[in-house]
Amino acid sequence: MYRRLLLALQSATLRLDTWVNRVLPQDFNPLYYTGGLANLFLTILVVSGILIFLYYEPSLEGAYASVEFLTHHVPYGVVFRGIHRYAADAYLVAILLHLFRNWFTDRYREARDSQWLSGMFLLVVSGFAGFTGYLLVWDERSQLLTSLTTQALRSVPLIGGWLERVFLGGPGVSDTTLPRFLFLHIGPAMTLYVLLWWHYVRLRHPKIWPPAVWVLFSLGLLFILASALPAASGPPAQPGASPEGFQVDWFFLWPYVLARWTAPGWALALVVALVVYGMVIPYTLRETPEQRGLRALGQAVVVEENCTGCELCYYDCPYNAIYMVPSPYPGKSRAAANRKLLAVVVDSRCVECGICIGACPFEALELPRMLDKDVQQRIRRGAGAAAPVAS
Amino acid sequence: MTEDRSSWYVALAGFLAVLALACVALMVYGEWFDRRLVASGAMGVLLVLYAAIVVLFRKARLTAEE
Amino acid sequence: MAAAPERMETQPRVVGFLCDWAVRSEGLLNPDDTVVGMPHVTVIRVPCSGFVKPGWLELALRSGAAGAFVCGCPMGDCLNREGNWIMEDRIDQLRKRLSRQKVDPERIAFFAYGLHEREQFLQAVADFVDRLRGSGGKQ
Ligand code: HEM
Ligand code: SF4
Ligand code: SF4
Repeated sequence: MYRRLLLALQSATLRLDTWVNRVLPQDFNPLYYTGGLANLFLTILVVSGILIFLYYEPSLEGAYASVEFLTHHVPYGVVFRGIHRYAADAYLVAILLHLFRNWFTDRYREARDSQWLSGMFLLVVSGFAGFTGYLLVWDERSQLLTSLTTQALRSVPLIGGWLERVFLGGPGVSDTTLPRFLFLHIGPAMTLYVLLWWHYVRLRHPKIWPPAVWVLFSLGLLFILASALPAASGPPAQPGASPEGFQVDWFFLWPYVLARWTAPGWALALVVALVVYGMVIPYTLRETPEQRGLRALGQAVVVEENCTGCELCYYDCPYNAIYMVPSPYPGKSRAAANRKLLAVVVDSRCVECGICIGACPFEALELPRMLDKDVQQRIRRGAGAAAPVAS
Repeated sequence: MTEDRSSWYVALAGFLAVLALACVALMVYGEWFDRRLVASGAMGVLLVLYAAIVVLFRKARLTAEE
Repeated sequence: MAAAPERMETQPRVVGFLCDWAVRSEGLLNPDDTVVGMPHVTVIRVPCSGFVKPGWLELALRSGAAGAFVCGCPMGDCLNREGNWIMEDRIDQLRKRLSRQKVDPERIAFFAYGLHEREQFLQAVADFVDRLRGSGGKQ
């Protein structure tokens, strides 16, 4: 059932691709660069964020006024604020596209689970940073979000009170609260880069930028949005007041809509459940590749006597699964006799793609269940080496 | 197979380039008369137009795959 | 089908490699690797277009095929991220090498078609065969 659903989703994803490819040249298709798009928006967020940070004052009395000053008195301040806000939304859209694409096109399990897991962490940390951003303005919405979050945290068994203190930077909202919020916004944003290292460590040449067209387009779109719908604060937060409604940003604040309907604790539980589920997705389908209708050809194997240490496979493996180690003993073939290095395949990273085999000019790599000699035989047969062909 | 269409794409790109020039004028106007949202909006439109021009050039085969 | 054997003699033989993840391949091939309806075209399915050794394409030409091709997924959609780009590069280099050896580089082709583009793929193969026949096929 689930498996068939996934297959249908894969089919639909690729169908979408063909539609896009009909309009755009293939190498401009944004769906092939969702990770790059996410990274682009993250970069825009960092740059615009630094500019906003220069004007921001993290204090109960000063925060709101400093944001208002930026918005109304700094030239183009409102534009930068808008870009920061809309880039955050676009960033989330890009991440979600990226997540679903990798999920539906089967790029998430087995040797690729490390990218998926780091991706889930990226998603959580990004979502958190997006939410704390709304606290910094310290308008009515920030106040409401703060009180809902505190309630949710308090309902956590055992460590609830402690979590609340960590969140608020002390017992209750105080002068130390906004500096804490500022840290909770910028700290996660920096953590993202550590997580991105994890995300990329098994990828050779990760495509971290979309094609230039999409850089132009995305920047343009952000400028248009920031100018057409200028970012604005709500009424300032009043000490002691408990505001009712708030303007929802559906990208980051949906758990809070839920929190208002039910109890904040439930919203928190739901978010945690979703994240945990997301992290086990790669392990939910415990089937062998054969059951999935794939030919499992086995992980690449180095034929040690032939390897010359030329490093070509090492440069081509897209998953950094090949390491070059100092050669422990000379090879057997003439070309390999004086080698300095030997290729080694790291099993846990190898996705069985065979790209290294295409790279190796010395017949020193094989996929165990699709051997070079068998392929050669099929080629000869197909080419008609046995029967003469009329020309 | 798009031989006949490529001149059409180029013409469209040319038209967009004229629009982009108008955006530059708007940007100057916005900055000069303190209508900054106009200026930044025009900048956004300008960037989107450039993106469209890049696509059109590609579709007209004026630029090749990277 | 009755006319096939005779026609086959006049059709240039072609050996191709098709990525498992590219064109949907149910019912595409006969058990002996030939394409259903195109007995002169042999297609060997591979786990990724990047698996193909350029040497195999040369081997196909040397063994009597008029042409050889590789078909991967649309550029950018390689399941293994880079397989089809790497293959495209290798084919470019192979072609240069072939023209230095006075072998017509047009005998090697690279295609990129996705799951839903089987018709286009078959059309591209048919066109390739036509081109090979036009240029006299061998040598
Ligand atoms: C901060 C947000 C993220 C950024 C900037 C990002 C960026 C990237 C980039 C640049 C790649 C390499 C793509 C390539 O070169 O083929 C990649 C791969 C990948 N990402 Fe992300 N990503 C993010 C979040 C996520 C999330 C939330 C998930 C899913 C939970 C995810 C799952 C993956 C997977 C599974 C791959 C490997 C794809 C493959 O093996 O072909 N990423 N990401
Ligand atoms: S088959 Fe080769 S290229 Fe592919 S992941 Fe394994 S080691 Fe790397
Ligand atoms: S490409 Fe072949 S010969 Fe060169 S290092 Fe890799 S396994 Fe060894």
